[in-house]
Amino acid sequence: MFIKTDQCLGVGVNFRNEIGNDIIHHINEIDFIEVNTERFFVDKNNLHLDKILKKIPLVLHGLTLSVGADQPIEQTYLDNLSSTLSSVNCAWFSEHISMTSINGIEVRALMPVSFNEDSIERIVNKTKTIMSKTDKNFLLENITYYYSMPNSKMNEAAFITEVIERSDCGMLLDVNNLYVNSINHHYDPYDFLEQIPKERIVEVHLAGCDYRYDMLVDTHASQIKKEVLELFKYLCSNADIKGVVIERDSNLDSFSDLIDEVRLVRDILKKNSRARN
Amino acid sequence: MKTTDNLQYVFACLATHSYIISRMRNNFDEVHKHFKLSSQDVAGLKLFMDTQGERLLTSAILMEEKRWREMLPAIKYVAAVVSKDELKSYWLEYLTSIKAVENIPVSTLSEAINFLYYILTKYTTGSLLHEIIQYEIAKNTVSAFDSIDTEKTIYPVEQLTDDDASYRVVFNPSYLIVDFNLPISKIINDLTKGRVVDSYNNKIENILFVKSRVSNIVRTISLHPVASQLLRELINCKNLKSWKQRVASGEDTYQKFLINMMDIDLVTIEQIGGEHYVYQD
Repeated sequence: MFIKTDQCLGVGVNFRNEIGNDIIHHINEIDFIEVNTERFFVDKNNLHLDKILKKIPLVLHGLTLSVGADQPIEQTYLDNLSSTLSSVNCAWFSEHISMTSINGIEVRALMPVSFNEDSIERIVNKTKTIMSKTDKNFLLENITYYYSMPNSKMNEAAFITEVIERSDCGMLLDVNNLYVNSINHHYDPYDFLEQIPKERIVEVHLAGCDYRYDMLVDTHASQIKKEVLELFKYLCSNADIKGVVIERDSNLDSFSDLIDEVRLVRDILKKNSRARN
Repeated sequence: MKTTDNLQYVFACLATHSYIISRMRNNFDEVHKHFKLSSQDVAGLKLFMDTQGERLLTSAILMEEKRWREMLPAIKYVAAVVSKDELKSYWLEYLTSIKAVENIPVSTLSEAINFLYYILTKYTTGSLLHEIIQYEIAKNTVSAFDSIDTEKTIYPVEQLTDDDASYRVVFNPSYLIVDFNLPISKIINDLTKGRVVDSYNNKIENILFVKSRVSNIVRTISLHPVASQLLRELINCKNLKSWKQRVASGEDTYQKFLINMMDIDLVTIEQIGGEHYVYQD
């Protein structure tokens, strides 16, 4: 059962090896760290991460569960996940509403699912299986998609709402993904926010996006767009957010720029959450 | 027996192979070369390709570009010698060499290894580029090794002299020893310092690659002929006594060698059928 925690973790970043040392040097500026769940399945030794985890809280973010694929969750994955959740102290864990592996084909990216009843049922069943393994809150995240899968029968917001509510799980809202999709698929992101169950939003992702091949692409390689920050500001006034992660995967040479963004986002979160209360 | 492929599977294959999407956009019948689909799915896919084919193609290209960008740091020495245009053209060739229903490599390192093997065939054995490619294949292969059991039993080597027959050496499973035809450590050193690499005299060089199970760092060590012989004999010996008999050197040499090999996490020493001693600093 989904029960929102009271504590707000604040503003964190996603962990990458290449910025491990930078994170340690700015540990007082970062409220918590998000780490790929699968890292704990194989990589037991990471000196930087070990130091970081002694200082700030952790949330886990999975990449390979493939909840939308028409196949059961692999037992090995379930075993690794159970073992990780019992051995590391995380505030919550999350996954994407997507497919990453289908009938043995590894996509190495997040593929969209068809927005229809079959997909909802499949994802809800898998989510319940995952949640039965732990008391920790499990969140599902909206992804960026550049094409709509065939056999879609409803819009994205209605689909996500059904998935989240019937799974009785939390939501990780990626505001950058929402903005990118709204531009590429021509809808109003504020309408989207009105449709989804905002009371279930626990975590928010923010990131940069850039135009490539006449499409807006979720690159995680640049500063957060002002339109995304505006959406985030609106969301802070309308949802009780428990943690925000700024995702940056490349162009990390100037780490202080990322820290500036952490400060800016923290300021928005504080001011607008206070206004809501 | 499978009668038809489901659409999710087809999309997974297409999303990872942009060249198949391009061919299908030019000639939709290409789909039948790769997949077995129901007539209903063929119609659905045809409609999709007509309306969203370009977006699917762009999405697949973006994924391939991401794979390329992520791979470059793992082939940095090759990338420093081969021109960017040439390397990119090899990459595009390599992408089309992966069949539509074949998995793309599951990690950046395995992708780098596959790509390096693909371009290795383009260079003569023993040529400068051939040796650099071999070096990066070895380094990435060792780097990709996941250590499952990180528990180590470390013995104080100086206390092992009484009964060598009851001790054996266990190797860190990540290690590789590769013979090069050129002075590869000098070449890599020159590349690291941004010097022009051109011609080098032939010189056999044995390099040991090993990934530390503590730091996860891959060490590369040029083996002196004596060390190379000690190591090769150690690999083939069933216990420390037989190793010492085969190499016939001084006790001081054995100890120093073993301590060095333990320092780089290449070996640990186990008591055969006995209790485990853990070295305490």
